[in-house]
This record gives sequence, structure tokens and C-alpha cells, in this order.
Amino acid sequence: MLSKERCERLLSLAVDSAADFAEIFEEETIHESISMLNDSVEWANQAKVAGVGIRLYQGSQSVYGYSNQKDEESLTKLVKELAESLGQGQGQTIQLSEVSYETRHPIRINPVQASLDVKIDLLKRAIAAAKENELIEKAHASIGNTVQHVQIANSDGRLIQDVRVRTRMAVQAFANRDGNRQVGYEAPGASMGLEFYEQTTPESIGQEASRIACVLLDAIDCPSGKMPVIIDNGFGGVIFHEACGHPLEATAVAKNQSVFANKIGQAIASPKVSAYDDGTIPNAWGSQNIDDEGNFQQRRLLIKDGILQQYMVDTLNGRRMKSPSTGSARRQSYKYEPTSRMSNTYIDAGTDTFEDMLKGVEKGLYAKKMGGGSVNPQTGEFNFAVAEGYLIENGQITKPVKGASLIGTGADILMQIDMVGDNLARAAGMCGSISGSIPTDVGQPRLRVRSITVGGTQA
Amino acid sequence: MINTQIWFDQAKALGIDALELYEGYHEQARLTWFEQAMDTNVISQVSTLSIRAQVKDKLLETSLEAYSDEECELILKDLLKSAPYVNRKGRLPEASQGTDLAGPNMPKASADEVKAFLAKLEAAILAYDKRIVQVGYLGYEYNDDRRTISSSREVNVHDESRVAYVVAEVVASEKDVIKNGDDIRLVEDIHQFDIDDFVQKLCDPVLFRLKEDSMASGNYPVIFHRDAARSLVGAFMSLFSGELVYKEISILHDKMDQKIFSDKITLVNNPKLQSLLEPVGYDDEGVPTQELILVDQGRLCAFLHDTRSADECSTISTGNHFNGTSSPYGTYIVPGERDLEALQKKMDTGLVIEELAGLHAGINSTTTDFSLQCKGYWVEEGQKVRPITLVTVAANYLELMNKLVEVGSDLEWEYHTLAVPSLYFEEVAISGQASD
Repeated sequence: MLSKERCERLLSLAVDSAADFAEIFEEETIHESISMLNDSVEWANQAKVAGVGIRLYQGSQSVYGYSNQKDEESLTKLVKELAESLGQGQGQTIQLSEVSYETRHPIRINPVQASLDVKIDLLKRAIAAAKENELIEKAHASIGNTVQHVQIANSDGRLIQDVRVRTRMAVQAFANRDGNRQVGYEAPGASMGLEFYEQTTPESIGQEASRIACVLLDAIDCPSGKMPVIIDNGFGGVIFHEACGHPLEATAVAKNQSVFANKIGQAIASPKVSAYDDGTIPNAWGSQNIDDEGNFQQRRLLIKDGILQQYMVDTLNGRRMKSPSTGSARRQSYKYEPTSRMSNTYIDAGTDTFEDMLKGVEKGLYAKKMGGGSVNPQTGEFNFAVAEGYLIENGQITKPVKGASLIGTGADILMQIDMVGDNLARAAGMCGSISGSIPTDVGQPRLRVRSITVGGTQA
Repeated sequence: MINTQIWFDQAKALGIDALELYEGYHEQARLTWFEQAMDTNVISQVSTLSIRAQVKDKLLETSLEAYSDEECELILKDLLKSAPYVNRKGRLPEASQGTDLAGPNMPKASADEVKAFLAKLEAAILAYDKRIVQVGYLGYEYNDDRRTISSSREVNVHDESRVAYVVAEVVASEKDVIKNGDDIRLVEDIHQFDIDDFVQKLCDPVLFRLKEDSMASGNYPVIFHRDAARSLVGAFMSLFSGELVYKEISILHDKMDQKIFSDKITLVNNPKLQSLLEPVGYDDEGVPTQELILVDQGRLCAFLHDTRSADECSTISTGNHFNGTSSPYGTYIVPGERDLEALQKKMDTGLVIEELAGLHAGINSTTTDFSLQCKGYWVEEGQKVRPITLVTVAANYLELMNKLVEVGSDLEWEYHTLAVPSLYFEEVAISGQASD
């Protein structure tokens, strides 16, 4: 990493301009990927990402430069170019103080340093478990490990480092019954080392992928239309992530491009809904000690009993909003300017039971597992795929269905949540936005939406 | 730039049978504008080195952003650690002669030129119609990309590409209804850019959408506008990937020479096509690219192969190693005779889908089922009558492509590597929020 002295020199050069703030973000990251198809190791690759991103602010304007050339000449040239683009100003000498802290996310077995034998064995276990069901003709398993070292220095005098370690295993199980082929997928992960697989075993991952594939073999085409939908816990939280999470990021709010802009203190959801974005949950997939501007992560109460409490704010957008940072700045890598993003976002547990949710539903959908989705934060229009769903007929769960999606608007769906269960769970995902693809958890307990448009082939 | 001979010599000394070095260089300048002032200005230079090493009949790979000739022994020794574990076979191709093609070489505008241009463009957008209330995003981006592929098997390919474009997103509002839309256009010469035409094409669709609403669920005749058609066809191009064919994951793996689409569809892949913004004479392994008919009047004729998938399928590479695997580049459906307006007249009444959303999650590439959010407009007596939103379109892709009525003539490439004309289908399931 750049030494403290080099950072001080570069920051002092940066603010010898019209800039009122400067920041250096440096990372050295190893991404590892190991893949197996049935009993064959396809690859065991590593990719190394290393570079520096330098940002200068002048009010709410920013200039950003990034490079993987870290020699003195290259970085000095980069800083000068950025500073010149803002214009001249009064300089100052920056002195940095290193900030120390105790990690909230300790790990035991560094996943990148662990032997390939150990990691391949984990994959073999997952594949063997998936293929226990004779309907599974092939299984694909992969493990992705990341160790990211970051250092952030800024003209406020802050120098801070963090190490982010993550592991994730993905299994695809391909079922075939008389030429009817379906695929099931499961991909849990955490900000942990390989000890993660002691609690979430490869066998459980393989079996879950296999179970979903086999269920889909008997699935009928999903009917379409507006109907009540019960969305199960865990990855069901992608609904909240898309419908509400993104529009609560300052990225959209600061420029008045969110459907929930200027609504603090107003009811934006059913009174049954309270929701958090919490980057401090120990070892959760979306957690970090510090955000990507060097501010400590926080637990943010976004919605309480349906009333909007706060947004997720980064420093630059906070200038537009005249709000302090909430420690929400994140970026995929040094190649992106950070902006406000989610971490682990979830609807909090309620008290309603599954039996109560099913009562009175003549025709509806039980979305046991969700796929991904996307949203237009400006209009609130969203879509989600249903990875595993079942018909609800006269209060009973009946046939599995395939090919279902859910669409609507965020403002509407949040108001339509009329029951919230008590079985809160979170699940790992990857979130894409203007500062790149980042790991985030989504979560919720099982909940019921009174009415939502279901897309299927049975019109 | 590295000294490739040092790396080849070191590889040989370590018992590596062949070595490939892919050096990528990317330089970018991006300036965005917001509310009459510069918002962000981004400049960057990043060089990367991707290495593939053939050790006996296996391929080992790594990718680096920190590297030097002095470190090559360490890097290659590190790479070799995975050799005992990898089972899958692979090899590096021998060099062969292809076509050297020049990439685009657009001039880069200075920061002052860009600021003046964006200021003018923002003003023109806001002046276009009083219902346009904000320019949500406005940016000029210049990308300078270079790739150099060298291997100890005598592959030696170098090409460069310099491209500039403008991206804009606008927000329109009327009576508490808010809609947005965006557009991207290449900027070949900032001083010759047709601002009025860009503004009109950006704003008109968004203003039309102010009155958009859902519709009743049902099975309807549907035209996929070329933009939506490109999204849909692109989402299922993995069906033709040699990698997925050899693994028997593609549903097409055992359907060579069979009818898979309507006989009105001919699907071609040609990375050298001059209509492409960046035609390429060699793929990312340095294998010469070629024109390949994938589907000929509905009949499956070929898959896309790189060296590895071709070996697995006992065939030869088609020069389609892109993005690390066997991938399409320069793919299109051969256009028909009628443009979009004429297709609408022929359809008379139905839905034209202009945009699809949720493609990353709403398709099943194993079964080819899909269920996607879409928007577009309703047509009556061949005329566009009202905008439609908050509907889904759902079908099985292979079944749908057999129910094609007609392929349009409106093939357009712009900056894409896949182009599809508008496609008219007999009947597709649409789900909406409105009642009859």
C-alpha cells in the first residue's frame, strides 16, 4: 500500500487547487474462482486487482481519476491533472492520523490461502449431495473467494485500512426426467473464511439446488393476472431491495430522481413494515467495517411502522442533500467512484403466521424462492423473477408453477403488504448500480402482499 | 508493455508447453453535466495482463493488474500450482492468418469542448418541451482500448479502438405523473453532432409515455421492436455456445441440422462485418474470425466455438473466443421486407414491445422459458394509439421463435455487436394490471 508519507504528499498536491476535499482509495484484491462440473475440475483461477482511485471535490462537483500505475511519477501526474481541471486555489499541507479499530468480521480460515485440496473437497461434497437424487443428471459447483485489502486516506486527515474477506458457493443441479429438463440453483455466501461451510454445509447447498430442480420437473405454467402473493423469507427480500432499497439511496434521492425523494416522515409503506439497512451485522455477506470512503458502517433504520426515517447517504450526495454521511458509500473497485449503496437490507420480523396468510386466499401465488430483479428508482417500476413458486387455491398450497414474474411499483407494493411473519432470514446476492457490482444481503420474514401483478404464460 | 520473449523463455524453463499473453489497455475520459455545471469528470488508465499457460493437455489461467518482467518467474510458478488439480483439457491454438481490420478512431474532444457541448445539449433538451423537467444524466465518454495477444505459438495480434459517445437521461412530468427515458449516441465529431435530432429522439418517447398505463392480460399479436428483439435474442445466444453444447447444458446440443426456429429466420454470426462499429479479424485467442450461418431458414447449422470447446466437440474453432469463452460477436437475423410501420399495418391490432427489463433474472436458459417486464404501445388499425407499461411478456423462446409471422427490414447496428430487426409474432401471453 502507499505509505502514509506518499499519501500526505499526494493529498497536499490535490488540495493545492480549488478542491475542498481529496481522497485516495487504494486496493489490492485477490479474486479466486474454482469450478467443477460433475467430477471434473474445470478451472482454479486467481485474478489480482490492484490500483488507486483519487477523488477531489469542489462543492458537489467531483473529479475522479484511477490507474493501476502506482509509481510516483504516474500518480503525481494523475493528481495534477485532476487538480488542474478544478482550477487554482489555496493549498494546505495534509497530515494524516491513522485510525485503528477492532474488526467486527473476524475470520478463521483465509479462503484464498487455504489449500486447493480443501476447497475442491468442498465442491465435491456439494456435487455428491446434489446427485444423490437419481433425477439429477449433472451438477455444477463453484466457489468464489475474495480477499480485498483497502486503504483510504483523505484531506480531513483520516487514514484507515480494512480487509474484506468473502466466500460464496454456487451449485446448479440439472434434473432430467424423460427429456424434461429443469435447473435448480442455490448460492449462499458470507463475509467469512472457509469456516462458513461448517454452518452452511456443501451438502445442504447441493441438496437445495437439487430439490428445486426436481420440484420444477412437475411445475405447470404459471397463470397470470393480479392476485395475492405470499413471498417467503430470505431471498424474498429482493422485493424490498429493488422496490424500496434503491430508491432510498442518496444516489437517486440527492438529484430528486427517486420516487421517495422528500418523503422523510411520511408513510411510504404499510404500518406492518419496519426495515433496516445494516452494514454492521457480524460476518454478513454485505457487511464491512468501513464504507468505501473510510467511514464506519452503521445500522440504519430506514422505515419504522411504515414511516420513512432516513436515506442511505454518502459524502458527496450528502453535500447536495445537506445531510451527513450514513457510512453507505460503496464501490465495486478502485475503478468506480463510490456512491450510496445498500449493505444488508431487510424487513424486520413481525408476528403473523403462515396459516393466517393462507386463509382467505382463493387464488394466489406462494413465491417460495425469488430470483433477481431490477427497478427504475425514478418511477418505482420494478420486476422480479420467481425461481420456485406454488399456486394457492382456497387457502391451500397446491401445484408448483414455472415461468412466473412479479411486476409493480415500489410505492404501491409497500402499501399492499398486509401481513409480516416472524421467520426473518437473509440471503446473499450481487447488486449492480453506477458504482459497480457489490455483495449485498437481502432479507425479510415471510410476508403477504394483498395484490400484485403476476406474469405467466397462462393469460 | 512487457517483454514477451522474457515470459516465453521463462515459461519454457518451467516446463510450460505454450504460453499466451493477452495485454489489455483501457483509457477513459468521462465528463457529466448536471444543472448547468460540471457534475463529475473521470479520467483513467488501466493495463491488465491475462495469462493462459498450456501444461501438457491442460490450460491454466490468471489475470493481473500488478505485474512486471521482473516478476514473471514468480507469477508463472504461482500459476503452475493449480496444474495438479485441473482436470479439464485445453490447449492454445497455433497462429494462422486472418484479416487485420482497423478499429474506429474517433477524435477525443477537449474538456472545454465537452463542457460547451453538454451545456448546449442540456439547454436544448430542457427547451424542447415544458413537460421535460430535468436532465437526470448527461455525459460524454471517450474510450481508448487496445489489445495485444501474443503466444509462444506465434500468435501476434494487435488492435485498437477509440470511441466517443454521449448518454442522456431525461425526466418528464405532467400532473404528478413522472416518466424517464434515455438514449446513447456515438459522437464521431463533436462539432458536427446533430443536437436537434438527438433531442427529438430522446424526448419524444418519454413525452409519449406520460400517458402510459397497463392493459388487460391476454394472448395478443405482438411485434418486438428491434430494440426489444435484440434484448430477447441476445439473452438466449448462450444456446449456441460451444462450451454449453459440449457440456450438454444447451437444449440445442443434440439438435444439429434440425428445425429449431421458423423458416423465416436466418441467424448469422460475422465478427468481420463492416457494419459493426468495431469489426474484428481475430478473436481473443488470436484465431481468425469468419462468417458463420448459425440458423439457416430455421434449421440449426452451426455452434460458436473457441479452441477448447471445438476440441471437446471434435471440430475446429470458429474464431469465437470472446469474454473468456465461446461467445457471439457480430450476430444478426437476416432482415425481411417490411419496416416497422408496415408490420404494424399487417398486424392491424396488437402490442408493440419496445423495452424489456429483468433479463438477468427472468429467463431460464436451460428450458428457454422467460417472463419479463416490458413496455411499448398498443396498435389499432396499424396505428400507434396508446403507450403501455407495467405488463409482462411470457413464453418459451424456442416455441415462440417457431410462431414468427414475419421478420422486419429495420436492422440497425449503431454501437451494438448484435442486431435484430423487429419481429412479429402471432400470439404471445401478456399479463397486465387492468381489467377488461
